[in-house]
Amino acid sequence: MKITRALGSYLIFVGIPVLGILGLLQIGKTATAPASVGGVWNLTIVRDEWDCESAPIKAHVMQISQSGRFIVITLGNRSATLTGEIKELAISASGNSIDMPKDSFKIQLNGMLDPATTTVNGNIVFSPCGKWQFSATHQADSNSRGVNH
Amino acid sequence: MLHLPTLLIQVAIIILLARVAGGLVRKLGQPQVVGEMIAGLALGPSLLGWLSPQVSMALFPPESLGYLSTLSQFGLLLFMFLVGLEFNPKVLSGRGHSAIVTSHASIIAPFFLGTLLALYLYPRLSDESVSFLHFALFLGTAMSITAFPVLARILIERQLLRSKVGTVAIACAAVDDVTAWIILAGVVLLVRTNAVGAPLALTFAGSLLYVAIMLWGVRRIMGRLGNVFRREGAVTTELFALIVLLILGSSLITELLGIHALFGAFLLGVVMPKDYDFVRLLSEKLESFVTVLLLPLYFAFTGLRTSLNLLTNVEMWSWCLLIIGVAVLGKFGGAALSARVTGLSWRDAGAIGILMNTRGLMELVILNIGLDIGAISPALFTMMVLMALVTTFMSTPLLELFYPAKLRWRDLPEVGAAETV
Repeated sequence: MKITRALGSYLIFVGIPVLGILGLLQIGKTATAPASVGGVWNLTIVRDEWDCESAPIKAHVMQISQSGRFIVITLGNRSATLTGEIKELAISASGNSIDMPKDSFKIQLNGMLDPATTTVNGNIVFSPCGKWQFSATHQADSNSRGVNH
Repeated sequence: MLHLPTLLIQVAIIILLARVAGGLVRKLGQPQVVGEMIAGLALGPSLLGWLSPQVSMALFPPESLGYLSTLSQFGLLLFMFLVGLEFNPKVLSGRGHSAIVTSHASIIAPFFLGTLLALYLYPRLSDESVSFLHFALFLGTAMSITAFPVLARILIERQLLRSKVGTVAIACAAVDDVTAWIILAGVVLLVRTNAVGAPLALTFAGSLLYVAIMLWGVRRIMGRLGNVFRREGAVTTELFALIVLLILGSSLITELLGIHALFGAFLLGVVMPKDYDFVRLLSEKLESFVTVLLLPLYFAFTGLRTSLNLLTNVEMWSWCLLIIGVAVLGKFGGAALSARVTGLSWRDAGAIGILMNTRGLMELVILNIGLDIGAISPALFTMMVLMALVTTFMSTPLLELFYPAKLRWRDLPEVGAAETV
């Protein structure tokens, strides 16, 4: 292959795309993504209303794994997994506990993120047992993405 | 605290499943690595965790995963050393301009498409804790990688190594590998520097200095290891111990520099003497231990982080298909078109495009780094793992289609023998 042809090919196949990449990175500077909620949150139960004998879930932390607006929330030591979304600052997720029959026990979480204090306030409804009103604070040193397991 | 019986059971199950799955896919004409990747996925939340969360919890309790992760990371260090060891700059000699144009085009084309895709995926699969720059650079790099070791094994198994296609492909993959790792080192440096607040210029300069010392200083000293080998006629226990210490030392330095321990192991492999017997004997000493015991752990560790359950709707599956399509188009298209322009026939250029599209384990390495440093989200990680699996899986049957056995034999006399891969 002649050097002039190689040089021409290199400019077309490498030089131009490199310029394109630089342009795309410039355009992307204005792109925005959903608010970040991934990581481990310390859970404080502000108030609980309970009809059943004992709570089937003991949770002092909740772990959020985030992919864009989609979130997976794990309560306690993986005893309950909820899937949901974050829209603007509102979080909603539902699911069940692995220790309880799927059809008889449902969990619904609704919360609101306060970005200034990195807290989430809301409630978790355990149908048919009752509900918790909670306040969650983000652990500063936790992985922002959460662990996906 | 380490619970040894749990770890032993985990390792035993992982190795058993990896061997069974590897054996099955080999019967389908696929490389062993495809089966091991599938086995890893099967042990994670995508299959076992979905079928029986209780069994999954009992087998892989969260508190035990740290030990599994450490073992698999150690295996990966040794594997990256092997990849560097098997990289021989001599495969580039005589390939000239066409290999450079084809290899660089096969990196830049998927990188460009990856960056373009990032514009679409950033608002959908990332969050505001990650800058667009980091997200796009990472996605571009992950799209550009070629699995040099898998490609080399496909070429050897198909007796393609000495063909025109084989020699160009192996040269391109070698250039690809080094270039992609340099780009990734830069991206990791950028993301980590931002995270810890260390001055970018300082860590960048430190990394460059280390690479320079390795390539121009340590390489010469390593030549003496070759002399020791020739004198002894074998890789003695003392020599082997010294090499292991050097791997650990080099990995530690690059980890402390902020560009990940893997680069240190890879770099040390690159500067090792390339004497054919030395490379072969050293590889043999390490390879069985790494590929049979430690790499399946890495696949399992990756599988435990990959959850198909995260792809909860049609929208997310359509993004996954888009990622696979863009990855194939960028890598296959970029490599095939540039190979054609540099003078190869359409058939040969197509075969090179297919081979360069093989991603395999190298893609998983990059993806795990991306997830660790927070550049990609768990759902995007899962989609990219599927892309790695699909692109690796499709290589062998497509190659058979584009470049059947009779053509391989026709091409063999055209070129000289390549040395070692």
